[in-house]
Amino acid sequence: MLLQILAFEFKLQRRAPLFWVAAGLFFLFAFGATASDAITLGTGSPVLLNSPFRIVEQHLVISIFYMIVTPAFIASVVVRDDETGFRPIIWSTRVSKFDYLMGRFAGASLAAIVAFGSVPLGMWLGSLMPWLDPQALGPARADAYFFAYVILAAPGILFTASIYLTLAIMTRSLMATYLGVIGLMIPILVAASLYSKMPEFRSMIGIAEPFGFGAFLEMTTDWAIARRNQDLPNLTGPLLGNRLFWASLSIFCLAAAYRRFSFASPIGAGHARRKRISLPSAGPIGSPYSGPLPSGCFDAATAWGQFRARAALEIWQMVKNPAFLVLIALGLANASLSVWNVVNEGGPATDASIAAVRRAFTLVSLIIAIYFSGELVWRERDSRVHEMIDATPLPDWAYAAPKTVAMGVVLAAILAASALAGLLAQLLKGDEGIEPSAYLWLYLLPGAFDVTLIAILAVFVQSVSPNKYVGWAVMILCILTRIVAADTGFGHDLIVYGQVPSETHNGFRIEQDGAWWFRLYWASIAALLMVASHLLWRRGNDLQLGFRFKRGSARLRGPVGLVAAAAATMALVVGLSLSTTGMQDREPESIARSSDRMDDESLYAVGDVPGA
Amino acid sequence: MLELRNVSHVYPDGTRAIDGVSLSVQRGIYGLLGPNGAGKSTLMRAIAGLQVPTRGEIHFDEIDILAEPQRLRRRLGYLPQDFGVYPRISAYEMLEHITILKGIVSAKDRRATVERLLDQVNLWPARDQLLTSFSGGMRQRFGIAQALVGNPDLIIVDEPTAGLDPEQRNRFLNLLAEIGENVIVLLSTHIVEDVSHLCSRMAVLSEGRIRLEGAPGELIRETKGRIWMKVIDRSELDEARARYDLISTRLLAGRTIVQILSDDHPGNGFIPADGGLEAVYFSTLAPQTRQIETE
Repeated sequence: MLLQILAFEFKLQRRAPLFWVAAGLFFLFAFGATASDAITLGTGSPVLLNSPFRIVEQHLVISIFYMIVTPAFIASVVVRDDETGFRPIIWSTRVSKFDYLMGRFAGASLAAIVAFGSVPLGMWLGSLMPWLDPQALGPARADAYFFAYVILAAPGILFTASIYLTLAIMTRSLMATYLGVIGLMIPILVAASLYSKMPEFRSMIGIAEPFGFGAFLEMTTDWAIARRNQDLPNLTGPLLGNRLFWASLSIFCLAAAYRRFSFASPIGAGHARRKRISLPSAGPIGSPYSGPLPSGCFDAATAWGQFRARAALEIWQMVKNPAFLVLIALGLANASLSVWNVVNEGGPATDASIAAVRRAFTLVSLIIAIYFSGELVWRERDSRVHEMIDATPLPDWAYAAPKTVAMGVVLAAILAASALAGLLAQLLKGDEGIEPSAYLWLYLLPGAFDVTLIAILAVFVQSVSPNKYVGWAVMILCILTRIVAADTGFGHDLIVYGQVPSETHNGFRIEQDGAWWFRLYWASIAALLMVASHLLWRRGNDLQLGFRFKRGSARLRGPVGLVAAAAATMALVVGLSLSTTGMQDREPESIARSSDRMDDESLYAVGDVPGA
Repeated sequence: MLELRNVSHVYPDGTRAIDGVSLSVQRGIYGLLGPNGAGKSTLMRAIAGLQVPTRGEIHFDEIDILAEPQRLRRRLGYLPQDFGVYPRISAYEMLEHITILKGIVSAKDRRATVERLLDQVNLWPARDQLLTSFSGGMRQRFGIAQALVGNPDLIIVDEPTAGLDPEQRNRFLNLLAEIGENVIVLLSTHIVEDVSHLCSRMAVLSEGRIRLEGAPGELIRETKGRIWMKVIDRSELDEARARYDLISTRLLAGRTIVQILSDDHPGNGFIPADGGLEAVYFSTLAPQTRQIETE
């Protein structure tokens, strides 16, 4: 029975979009980190791109990011039967509690582990790319992939999954489970940043995180580059200790989950839990209002009120989302730790801090822009309120526009929070020369602008794509194309969406003087994308793109057409003048990795994504 | 007045959901009766401007719905057959949001609307609960409240009584009857009783076509003297099916009651039956049902 349940659970999980989205996302992550200079993961030890050390290290870093995904696999084990209403049927069968819970847990964990298989695949394919310097590559090492995936990454996923299962069953709340993820991730990040600073804690850190990262570094710390390119550590000493410690902790967690789990009481997680509300069956409670109901009025004040209400709804839906909170907490922790590490290490502290915040937070803000654009474009359809909303006299423009504005507001707010985190870290580290205005001009304004451009593109992609998942995949490809374009020198600032000319100076990315002219150019292109999203928006039940295209073109006659024409003219004029000044010619952007990075042993450095 | 002329809709997969429907609906409650899959919801969506039919015209007073859906929406109240709710939002907040979308922005009018309607559908005590925690019936009542926001003069309610307990259903039908005195209410249902209690006029829709149209009272009168019934054994059912124009079979205390349609007394133990609207409905559907059975 246990095996059948496991197989069934695995089959269900494999068919769910989550599996493919996770596999696709992490494939691209691993591929990009190997095939592109722009994404940096790990300690940056100058080893070969496909050396055993690098393979293991990247698996471990990506495992830390994968912590966000594993709970989604595990949570469905606990909440699915309540969501589908199948609980009474399944729970009244002869299945035993052990088979049910452990079979499902094993099936879901297996799915999470198999989806992670995209990481070795992505790294291996990445190492085959023709533009890579052959000097930076060694022979392909199947044993290193095996060691990294089977000995380190897979058990790590299993260990964290068992913790999530216990959390989900104990708290019966998806939100609490995600908070638990934060609770687990932040100490790991802190431990990672302390690792090089406090050698006396090394062996403790080696035990205390579930992925074996500390233990791996401890065992390879004395290795010369040549050995790192050649050898793998044995499964002995600290590494074996770490695996054993976490295996026993997981068994303990699973035992606790089993003990706590009960067929009798509904396990609802967060939104799935249905509290039955008993209402007084007596007649209505007198409302102070009587007489006829007010009727609608359709003037400018109403339009403004509708715009605000739509934007506010979107902002709240985003901010109250557990995934959002996890990403923010993670990003902020990462940003402040990065700043903490670079301050007082010589050089101008503010410049270094801004570079550190940007490096630490760029990926988080991009993920938020892409992920939540999908959520907000599909929100009405996903929660099946679309017919109700579409039948109201909400003007057509009050769909795409307030959603995009809400996205921009949230992105600006989280970038502001990351800037504050950076400033705070600088202050706490005793740096008295803080320059808030530098954060504003060098980080916050350009950063918020650029990531909002990406969000506008994502909203457009989502409004033409057949579903959310295709939209996400297309966006990830767009971002990777940008990265590869920047890496291979193919990038042209007037062609690569959202890119502005910059150069690297002393390890810091400095934008060229005309960067804001390029932003004006990209803003006009973004305005065109917004018009297109608006025109192609799905209102009503006619979803075919052909139909929407026809309806959209008819709507171009009118004010929308004027906006489009103005934006196109602006793009043309600014674009032409920029191309004649020759400012866009530049060398491929290479991020000076050795100087623009933290100390050698910090684990979580994620590279600058050019232009973002 | 709501006027449909020769409206047809074929879905991209080739399904012909509605087929040449022409209707003229005056003020009052109009019942659209039909089995599941008859095309009721597609027709309702087309009238609500949510689905552009492949052919035909729909007018509401002077508004051409297909050309100017936005003008229609300002006067429309719509309860979809199947709807969800935003997560992480209370009944009060969501109804207030819909109120704003319906063009009622001032804080005073907003409050008056939300409080009145939550009270009317008996959700006032649950106003601060998350909508996702609502039971099916409560959610349905929320749907009814949102359809009434802003004094619509065309109200389209698709299967509104589904999931309501008898008391709530009664309450809702009363509310609808009260509102229906002044506006057009289009009610789709597969429950014959809802129509016979409420509607001044009705149509029977099956396989996308209007099979019958008229006032329930007249339609009942037309079948008067043509419906006959008999209590038989299960074993006699096949024979009865072959011999007569069978419109319905029903079980009563383990025995089978058959109703047949016949202009003359069929003899053979049949007695005259007062079938009511149900007999009208079943006799209208009977030809299609028979066709399906023989296929």
